[in-house]
Formats: sequence, C-alpha cells, structure tokens
Amino acid sequence: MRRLLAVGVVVVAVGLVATVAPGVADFVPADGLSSLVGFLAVLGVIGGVTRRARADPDTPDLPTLETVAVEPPGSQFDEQVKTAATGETRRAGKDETAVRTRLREAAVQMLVREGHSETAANEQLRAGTWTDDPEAASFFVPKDSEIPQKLLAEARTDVKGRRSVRSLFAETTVFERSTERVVAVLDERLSETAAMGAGDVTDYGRPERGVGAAESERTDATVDAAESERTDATAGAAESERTDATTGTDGDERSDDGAAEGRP
Amino acid sequence: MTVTADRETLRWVGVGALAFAGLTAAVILDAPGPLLVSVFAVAAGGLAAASRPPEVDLAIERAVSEQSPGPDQQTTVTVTVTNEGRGPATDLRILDGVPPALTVETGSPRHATALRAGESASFQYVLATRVGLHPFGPTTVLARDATGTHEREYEQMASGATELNVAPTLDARTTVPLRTQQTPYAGARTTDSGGSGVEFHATRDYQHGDPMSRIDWKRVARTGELTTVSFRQERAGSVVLVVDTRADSHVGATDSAVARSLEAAATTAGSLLDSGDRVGVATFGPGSAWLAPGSGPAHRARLREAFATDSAFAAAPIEDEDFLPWLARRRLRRRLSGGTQLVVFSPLLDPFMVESIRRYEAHGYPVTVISPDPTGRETTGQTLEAVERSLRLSRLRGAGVRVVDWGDEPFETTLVGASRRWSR
Repeated sequence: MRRLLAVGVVVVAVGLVATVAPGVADFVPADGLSSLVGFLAVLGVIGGVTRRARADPDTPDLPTLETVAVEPPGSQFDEQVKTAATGETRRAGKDETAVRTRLREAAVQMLVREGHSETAANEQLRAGTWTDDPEAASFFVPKDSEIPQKLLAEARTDVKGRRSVRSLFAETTVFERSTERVVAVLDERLSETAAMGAGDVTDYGRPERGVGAAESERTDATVDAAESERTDATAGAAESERTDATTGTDGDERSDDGAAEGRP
Repeated sequence: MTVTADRETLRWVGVGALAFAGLTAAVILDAPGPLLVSVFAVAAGGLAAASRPPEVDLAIERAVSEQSPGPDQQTTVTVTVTNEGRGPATDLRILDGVPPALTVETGSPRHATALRAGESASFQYVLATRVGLHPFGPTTVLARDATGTHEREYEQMASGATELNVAPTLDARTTVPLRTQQTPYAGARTTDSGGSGVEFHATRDYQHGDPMSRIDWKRVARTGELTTVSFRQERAGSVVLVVDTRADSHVGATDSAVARSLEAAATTAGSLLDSGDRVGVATFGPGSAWLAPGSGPAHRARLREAFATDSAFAAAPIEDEDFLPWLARRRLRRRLSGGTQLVVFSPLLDPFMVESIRRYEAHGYPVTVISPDPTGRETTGQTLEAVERSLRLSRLRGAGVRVVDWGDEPFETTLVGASRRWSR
C-alpha cells in the first residue's frame, strides 16, 4: 500500500511538472500507450463506481440521550428465536430448547390459571388440544408422537398449506412464525380469562384490555356456567398454591440454594 | 479514556473513479484539460489513503447549576471541552453522558465543533429532575481527521459533577393502604384486636373492672345483662419499602421501572410517615441499602438523604458480578423484625421475585406489591414478557398477596383505585 502510494505520488509529481515543462515527459511513447491507458481507465471507472455503490460504512451505535434510555423487556427472547431459526449450530439448538421451555412454562401456567392441574396441562400440550389454533397447537407436540389424531392431521395440512403460500412472501421461518402464534394465542387467552374474572381472585389495579367487548358478547347463561366452573377451578388452584407455599417454608434453607440461580 | 472503535467513514471511496474518468475523457478527446481533474482526484484519494485515526487529547468538564435540586425542577448542565493536544482537533462530535432516567428539557447534550490547540468550547442543556441518585455516564467523543476518512470513537469520564442527588420532599398527600398488622405503637391503622378505639369490634360479657363508658347500657335496660363493647384498636404500622433495583429491572416502554419505583417509594414513605407509621427502606439489588423502620423528623431526614445519596438507589444499572439474589433475599429477611410488613416495588420480571415475595409472606411479613408495568407489545418477545408478567401477578394474588398493577397513569391514581377495591 505504502509503495503504491509512493509510486502514485511520483507519477502525479511528474505529471504536474510536465504541464509546465512538456519536455520532461518525452520518454513516454505517445500512440500505442494512450489506447491501453484509455481501456484501463474505463475499467478503473467501473471499479471505482462499484466500490462506491457497495460501500457500507460502519456507523456508530450512539446512546439515547434526550429521553429516558430504556426499552421494554423481551429482546432476549426475540434474539433467541432468531438464532434458533437460523440453523443447525449448537448455539441454535440451545436457544431453541430455551425458547421451547419458556413457552411451555408460560402455556402450562396459563392452563393452570384457567383451572387445569399441571399434569392435565402438560397432557393437553403434548396432545395438541390446548388451543384451536393449528399452528400453536402443533408447537408442543413431540415429533415422534403417535398421538396425531384427526384434528391434528387436519391442522398439519392446514398449516402446511398456509406455510407454502406464506413462505413465498415472508422472510420469517416456520419456527419464528409458530412461536409468534403461540405467544399470540397466550395473549388472547389472557385477556379472555381476565374479562371473565378469575373467581374469588380479583384483579386489582387496572382493568384488563377488552373487558367491555368480551362481556357484552357473552350471554348470561354462559357467564353463569363459566363463573361456577371457574370458582371451583380457582379454589383448587389456590389449594395447591398454599401447599406449595408451606413446603417452601419447611425446606427454606435447602430450597433457598436451589433457587439461587434465579433468572439466567 | 477508552477507545470504543476506530472506523473508516468511506467518504473518499470511489474517488478513483473520478480520476479514471478524467483520464478516459483526456484519452478520448485527445486533450490535456480533463487530465487536470484526475490530478485533483488522485491528490484527494492519496491524502485520504495516507490519513490516520486522529489522536485527540481533550479535557471535558461538567458543571451543574445545582448539585442537589428538588424533584420536578430544572437543572442546567454546562459542558466545557478544551483541546489539550498539540495539534488542532478538526472535527469533533461530543455526546454528554446524560443520566439514563432523566430527560432533556431544552438545549442539546450533543455538540459538534472544531478546536485549535488550547481552544475550548462549551454547551448547555437543561435536565428535568426526579427523585433518586442520578449518575452521569461517560461522555462519548467522535473525532475525525482533516480529510474525514477516519473516525475515532471514545468514551471519557468528565471531571466536575458526576451525579445529581435529588432528595424527595416526603410531603405526599395520598393514603397508602396497608395490610393489617400490629405494632405496640399508637397510630392510625385499625387492627383486628379489640380495645379502646373508634370502630366497633365486638361485645363480650362484663368483667369486673371494665370502664363504665364501655358498658352497653341499652342492652342492660333490655335484658338486665351487663355486656362490654370493645372497639378496634388503632396502632401504627411498621413498614419496610423494598425497591427492586436489579439490572434486569432497568427497563420500560417509555420510562425506567426502577426510576418509577423510586418515585413511588418516596411518595409512599412520605404518606406513611404523615399517618404516623414507622417506615424503613431497603433495596433488592447490588449494594443493598437498608434503613430500619422508624419515625420522627430525624428519621425523615435520614430517609431523604438515603434516597438522594445512597448509591444503591441509583436510577441507572449498577454493574456488579458478585450480586447474589438469594443472598440478598436472606439478608433482608434477617433484618426484618416481627410485626413488620413489606411494600415491594418491582416490575416482576422474573419468577425469583415472585418466589421471594411468597416466602416473605409465608414467614409472617405481609406483603403489598406495587408493580410498575414495563412491558410493551411491539415484538413477540415483548408480548411474551407481558403475558408472563400477568401470569405472575395472578399467581401472587392467588397466594393472598396484594398486588397493584401500575400502568402509565400517575401513581396516586393507581393507589386510589386500588384502595377503593380493597376497602370493599
């Protein structure tokens, strides 16, 4: 690079001198060289323009200054999904497991809140019967499972059909889309149960979104049915919570260390 | 001074094309004129290739109009930059390290300038203050050389003011609903035990020595039996306000959950002190702060000072590798004395906090949780966080813990709504 620069400087200097005293450049043969130089120069123009077009400057990542410098939580999960969707590396496998575990836990918690036992919740997830959404339902079904029933088979073809059409236009992968669906279903379920009011456990504080709409659609009879079902269910849930709490207290020292890892 | 990055701006990339274009034109037209264009292009490209990342030596000094302003006021920050190097600094962009939880009201914390050796420049901006200790971050400098080819980005800690200490006024006019819990001190909280007081509690058989004024005379007239009326005793509460200041809690859609928690804790402390309760504060996070429950003017002053100067109350994430959450949980439990209740301020972003709260509750310390909502719903991950947080909230409610879900509205509004629900 340095040598090239020196050669360049010398050539430019000779050129500048030649503009004043043309005799200096007499050693350069005039005719044949000029067309060669012209050809090379055209290549040079093309090369230069391409480099300019492809130039991708590394811009600095500057902090937010004028407003409060925070962002909502959740970027870790988004990154994990992205890594998991990229491919077959070990990191991708690890992240996929993390994503699946976290979604499963959330789904189980949701079903427990709705009044199912933890075992029943896991069963429903494995069988793919926990939701009507085919894509979300098939997410927790083990790949080597023999359960695929009529509904699930239907769901799979449905998903496939949509996948093929959508994948032509979408840049997201199947894994990314199904995680998206699972989260969307969980979000819907959450606002639905909040609207019904979870038995004797009152949601203090802000009213959940969409309360009015959900309430007005439902007829009285269904509300009653749902209410009574829910009360039983929550009583059960509360019971199991209490047992958890007491066992937690008994073995406090032990479990203190057990839970030491906190959040990864 | 730490160099973050040396990068090329690629400003002169492709200048070679101009040089070659001049040459081509000269060859085709068989005229020397266009060749002169390429001479300039070659000179510019050569200069750019020969340039190096600039070595700048700046002295940055920050001054604030008031080191300890009150909350909701304005404070002016003046930053002076002096070129202490031997050569000129041809292109400088300076970004001051504004405390992360504060907002700039007027002026700009960004400044672009060029400085000769020994020359200095200054710029000002105005910050809106809020409760807490607000450390300034490092100042970011972007320096470019004369041709603009190379850019050096580095961070430098400014001398002068390094933090803002905003003490709460502690004169809030709200009522914070507490859980029922007894202390031996007289106060304004009604308890579940009978005695002298205002609100009716129970009647019982007359015992020798009961005061005449508490005998139910109407019943004596009706049946001839002597009964004594007892009232709910009124006692002071003993409360420890726990603020979750772990690094994970410095999040939010528009505002930092920790900064909001600190403000809410200050409001709560003020109103509890006003109603005669004993108030203490603690942080759950790196460098855990602790102030045992107490009351009186001296304690009030200590509280104000703790909020403004204790580094554990910093409204910016503290890097601490040695922080062990379970150890902090155990330490806090050992510090609590019987009859104390907790008000926990946490965005509840992990199961650990839920577990800790349930344990405190199980150990006999009634807990009220005030949870600023930091979640958004822009991406899948954000929605999942929001769903998980709601599930955690309902789990806590199921375990008998009082939870206030605090959205974007002012804290006082949330409290009024919550108190109305609980009093039913």
